[in-house]
Amino acid sequence: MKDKGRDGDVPRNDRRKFLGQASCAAVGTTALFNTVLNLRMFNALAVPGEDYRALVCLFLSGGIDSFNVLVPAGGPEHLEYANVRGDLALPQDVLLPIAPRRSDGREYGLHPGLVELQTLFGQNRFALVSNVGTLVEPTTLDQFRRGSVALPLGLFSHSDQSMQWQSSLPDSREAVGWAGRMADVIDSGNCDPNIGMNISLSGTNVWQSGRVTTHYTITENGSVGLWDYGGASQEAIVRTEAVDSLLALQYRHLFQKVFAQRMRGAIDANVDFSNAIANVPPLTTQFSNTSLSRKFRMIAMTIAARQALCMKRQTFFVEFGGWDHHDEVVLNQEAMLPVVSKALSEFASALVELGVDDAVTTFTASDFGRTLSSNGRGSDHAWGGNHMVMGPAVPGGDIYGVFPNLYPGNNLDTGRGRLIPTTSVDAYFAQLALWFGVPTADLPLILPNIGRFWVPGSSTPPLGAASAALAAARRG
Amino acid sequence: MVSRLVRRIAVFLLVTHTTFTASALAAVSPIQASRFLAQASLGADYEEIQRTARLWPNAWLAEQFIRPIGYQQPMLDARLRTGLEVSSEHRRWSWWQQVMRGPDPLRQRVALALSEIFVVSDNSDAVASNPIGAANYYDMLLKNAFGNYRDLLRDVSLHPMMGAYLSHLRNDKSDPRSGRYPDENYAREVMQLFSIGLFQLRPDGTFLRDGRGQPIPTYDNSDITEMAKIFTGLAFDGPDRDFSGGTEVWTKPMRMYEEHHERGPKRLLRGQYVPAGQNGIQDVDAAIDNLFRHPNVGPFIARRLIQRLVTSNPSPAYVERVASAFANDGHGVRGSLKAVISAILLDTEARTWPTSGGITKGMLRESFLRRVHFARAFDAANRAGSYPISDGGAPDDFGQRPLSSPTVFNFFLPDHKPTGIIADAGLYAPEFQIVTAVTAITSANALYGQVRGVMNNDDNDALEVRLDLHDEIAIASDANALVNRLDLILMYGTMSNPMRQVLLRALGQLRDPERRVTTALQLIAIAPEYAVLQ
Repeated sequence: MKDKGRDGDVPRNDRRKFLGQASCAAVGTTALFNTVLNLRMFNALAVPGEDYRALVCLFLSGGIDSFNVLVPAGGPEHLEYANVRGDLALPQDVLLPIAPRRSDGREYGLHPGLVELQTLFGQNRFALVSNVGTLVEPTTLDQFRRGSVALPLGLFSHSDQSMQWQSSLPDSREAVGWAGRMADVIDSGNCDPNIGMNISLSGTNVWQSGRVTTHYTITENGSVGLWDYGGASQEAIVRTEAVDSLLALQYRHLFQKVFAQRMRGAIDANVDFSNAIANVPPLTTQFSNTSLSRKFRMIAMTIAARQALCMKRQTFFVEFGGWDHHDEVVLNQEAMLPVVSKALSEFASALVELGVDDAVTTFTASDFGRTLSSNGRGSDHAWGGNHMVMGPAVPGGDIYGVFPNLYPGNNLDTGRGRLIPTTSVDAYFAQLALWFGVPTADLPLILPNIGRFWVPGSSTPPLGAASAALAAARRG
Repeated sequence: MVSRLVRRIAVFLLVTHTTFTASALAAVSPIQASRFLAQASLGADYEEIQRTARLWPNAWLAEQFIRPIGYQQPMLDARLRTGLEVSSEHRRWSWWQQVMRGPDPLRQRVALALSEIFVVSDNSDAVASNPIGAANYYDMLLKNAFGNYRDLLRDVSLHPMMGAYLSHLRNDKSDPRSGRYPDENYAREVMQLFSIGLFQLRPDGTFLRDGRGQPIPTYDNSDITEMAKIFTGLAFDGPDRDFSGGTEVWTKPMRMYEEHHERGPKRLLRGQYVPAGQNGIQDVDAAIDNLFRHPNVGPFIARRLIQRLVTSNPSPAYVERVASAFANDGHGVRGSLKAVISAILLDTEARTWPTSGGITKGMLRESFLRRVHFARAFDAANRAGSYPISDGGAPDDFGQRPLSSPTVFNFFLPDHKPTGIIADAGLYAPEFQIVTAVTAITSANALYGQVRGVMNNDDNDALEVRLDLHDEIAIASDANALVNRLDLILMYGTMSNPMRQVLLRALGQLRDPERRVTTALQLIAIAPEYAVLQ
């Protein structure tokens, strides 16, 4: 298979060797993982019949105040919630009740703007994961205070935490994402030379940046072509020839070389992508007129074109920004959460229409959770938060992880309601990566710290421990 | 008279800044002037290149330092006085007007760089709906661009636009009864992004490390909650003197409302405290001084400004030379931005000719600045002498537009390393963060349109802004002469022979002189050699 021109200068034959070195440096254990993974994945993908899976990351950038997304709804728990949240608290009677399949004995509700997601939860097609966050290792409040445990670098800061939520490397500033690492080793399952496994609808991102591979970027309208390129007029012919020649020159300066690669890659990928999309029948599912819904529509279209694009494994990255609500968090969420709810449910319908709803998992990520306490109509940067998953990787109609106590000074509260996460991002992502097809034994190649939070090969899946049992443990 | 003054200042600069090379001691060749202007301005036309070539770079700087300031707000005020509406679009018109016609190209260049460090963005409603405030903020950056960093940091911190953007406007003191705490937003970002950064730095900008080889944080979260108390009690300075309601006055610094300011002593960084009983503005000044005196500020700001003007990967020695100009301008003054700018632009690392600079020097031109460069290089204008350019499509086309960053972290991060050979070489290349498979194409298409058509669509043809390619068309029958001229103006004479051959082959197939010019420009706009400012 031809190597991806835009991905760097590593020739095909050296790529595996390069990966071996790079992964070895990152994992620090054995050097054999990647070859094994490569072969296994390739074999798995060679199974006849359709074997297609896609992961969609919805990144709610800015740090969503997610303790107003999933809210305790029972009397005493809501009172505890309302006390700590002060002017940020949602009234009990506006919450949309949900009934998790495995009860931890408490009642929960969703933010009133999440009407569609409440319905999907009831249909077991949508789940929540509570108090997830970046951890270097399991951490107690006592360890946090005594400084006896390694903590994520740049805790509570946007730049570091949004990076770590994408890299799953909280002890490193290496901006390499776990979807990028997956693509580095399993891209060979896909066969379009110009379009890789990872597609972004929101530009450059860490999640899909590997050491060798990167992502292909499209807009809500698809890919873009160069004007007056490839046309039949004399001028277009002259220009096309000149552009091709310019991009084919040998550049020594690394920036010039990469610029040329990006331009060349973009021109070529557009030809493949636009051709593939042009043959997709229009979707009957109606999407809202928001940028987020339009992006999910384009993801559905791209999935519909998977055979033309020759894709067996894909990831998509969508960013929805503006959640850094130091001010007016309640008002802003009232406007923004319905946008999320509608876009996700429209996407779910489109996947049913395409017959691939059992092949696509969508999950949320964000910089961090926010303080439970108010700064006067707003909240500040914190740590653990609640997240949303839709699709087969995480069975729906349930809450995973442990919903924490919220009262000030509880055993997770590092101050102002900045809660220590009880589920690591590694465990969250491991659940997704295993479903995506990463073999258990090779998971550390994708998520190097997973061994600190989950025993690979254990009988319970990474997020699978029953919440009721954990809740009992918490109260005990 | 003026020229004598200019020369005297130039000599003064020569004496005080000793870091430039011998080549800077003589009037320079046109290609050297062109390259200098590519770093020190937002673009220059043929005449300005020739003029600058007759000066020393120092003399050009000295002349720029004393030029009057091209402010934006007066144009918006004038619109208001005549009963016209004022929106963010009109603020952009005034931005273009001053960038194209202002008397102060260096100051405009530096202010734009500052706007990408001290970020506010009309991506936020407060900034978008108060264009006069946003223009006032930008004017404040222009005013301080050649001033002192301490004044700049103070003015930024007290500007209501920043207050609205990072939510310390109407930030109230804590209230234990309701469990309310001061907003931490500004306290965090003023340290992380505007002054000292996350880690302790050596004077050359590299990390200090602890015994285990780890970088040492400059502050922890308790420092942020303490600093958050400092920035309480600030709100609009309106006639009604009302903290929480009150008239919105976007063009005056925020006023301190003592009864909303957190009482008591507060811990600053590096073991310093503000005592109890000071008034709020004294607290703010003490905190600004605390940050201003921090040893990180010089190397932190030096690296950021070098990255905006000259190179993505300055050597530690270069950062240290600029940081030392920050620490002392030669007259014992700390924080002189004039000294910092001179040190950046006259440094041997900036002035050394790129052919000897290897394969990693310089920077990718900022995407949107290619648009500005083309406009300035070819004197874009309309018959009215105005610049009603709204740039509505720029954020999509270029991934960038002044004062429209997606977040306070700017359009790209200073530590962005593109996957592949650049990251493998351990290099930073921030501007690549906004060059995607989409924007690589859309920006090339936008420049294609700009060269061939208009920079704005206006119902009134007389207001449409076009490049003036008259001089180029006049020589276009001689393809070699045309390419030479464009090479000088846009690429300071560094176009490689293979690239030249590609252009000449294309031009050889075209007869129409105007078509020759636009085709050559469109090809340069897409060319990797042009994209990198070495």
